[in-house]
Amino acid sequence: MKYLLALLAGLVTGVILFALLLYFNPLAAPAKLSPLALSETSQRVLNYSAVPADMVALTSSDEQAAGRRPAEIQTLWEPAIEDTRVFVSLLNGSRGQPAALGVKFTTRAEEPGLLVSRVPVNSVWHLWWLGEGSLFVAQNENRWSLLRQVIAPARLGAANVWRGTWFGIMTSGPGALGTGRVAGGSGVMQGLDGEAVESINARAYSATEGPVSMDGSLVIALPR
Amino acid sequence: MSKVFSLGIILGLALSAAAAWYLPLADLHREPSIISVQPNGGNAEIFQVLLPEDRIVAAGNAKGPVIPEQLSWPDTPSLAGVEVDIFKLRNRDNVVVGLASRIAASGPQPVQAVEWTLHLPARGTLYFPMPADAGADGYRTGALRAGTQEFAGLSGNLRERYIETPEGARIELRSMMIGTAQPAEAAGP
Repeated sequence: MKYLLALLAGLVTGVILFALLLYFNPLAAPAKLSPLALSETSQRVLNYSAVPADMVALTSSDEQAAGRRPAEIQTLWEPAIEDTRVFVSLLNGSRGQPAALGVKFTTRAEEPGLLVSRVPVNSVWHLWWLGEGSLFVAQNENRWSLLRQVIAPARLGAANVWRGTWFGIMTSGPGALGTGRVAGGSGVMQGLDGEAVESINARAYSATEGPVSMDGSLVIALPR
Repeated sequence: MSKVFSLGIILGLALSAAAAWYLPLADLHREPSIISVQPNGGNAEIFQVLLPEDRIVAAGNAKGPVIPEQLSWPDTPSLAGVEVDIFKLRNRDNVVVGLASRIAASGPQPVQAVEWTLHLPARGTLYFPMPADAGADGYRTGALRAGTQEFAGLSGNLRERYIETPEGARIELRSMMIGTAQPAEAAGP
């Protein structure tokens, strides 16, 4: 009996050690350099606020009002869509002017990844570039660094809030260099194919309210 | 005793590593796809949106309601003529299988079009730009411009039709998909 107890105690210790190794893995640093940084293609930048209060609309399966905007919006409670989040936002161009209306769908991916510090998410943007036309952006994202360095400290901290400066590239594919795929739909974008990279810049996150000060940036590279 | 404890630690580490390597972080619910095979080898699938209950967001339409009523639409002149709708998307049996966004640009917008993005979480996403005007038969048709996951590499189209019903209305979306032919050399023996 005592050997069985020792084995069980060892098993539990091993699992805890593994969780600590994963959590404090020094090799799991967020990607900071955009794969498009050295690209010679024509690039456009769209910025948006990732704070729910700044969005036009936001919904998910989250019953808490903080996860929805406006609070009266339908929740995504049906089994097929309960792992999905959708928001509508007005995105600004590089000079701060309203440039595009965007709808983003985000769904947790059915892929493993914890061993290599990956929390995989599939997302798509449906963008209407004001006065120009439309684009579709499909990407795989890795949320590990955001979870590990922003969200987890907010949830584990005594004040339930994280404050600091954090920047990370979210896009990890499906392009070979870790870029998302872009397909032009209408107007001057019609027929164009390109690449995209999305990044997040976080300054404050609340465990109860979600992002308090957080911006997203979408860099879209199109052929000249 | 200490050897057994050490063996337990190694087992715990190994089991955790195996679980982290193999187990997916999400287990998405998937409804059976109701697909009919066409004579050309393609697949036809009907999706539908029941109105008004499946409309999550409706904004930008000067003549129509804003849903939810509390939604604040940006007061930006360059947005005039752009409408956005977010819907729950159902299969032919009225079961919710995904979400859809419909963006329509008309009036003062220099580019006029209607576009659908169908997001089926367990299967992938489809993107269809369409012309602004429906045909004489009431259908508006657009070609598949991009697809992800199981829809990657397919070609096809989507036909949109608005149908009045005694209970309200519904939007019928009929997709026709076919795999893109591979060159004989690439296909192999």
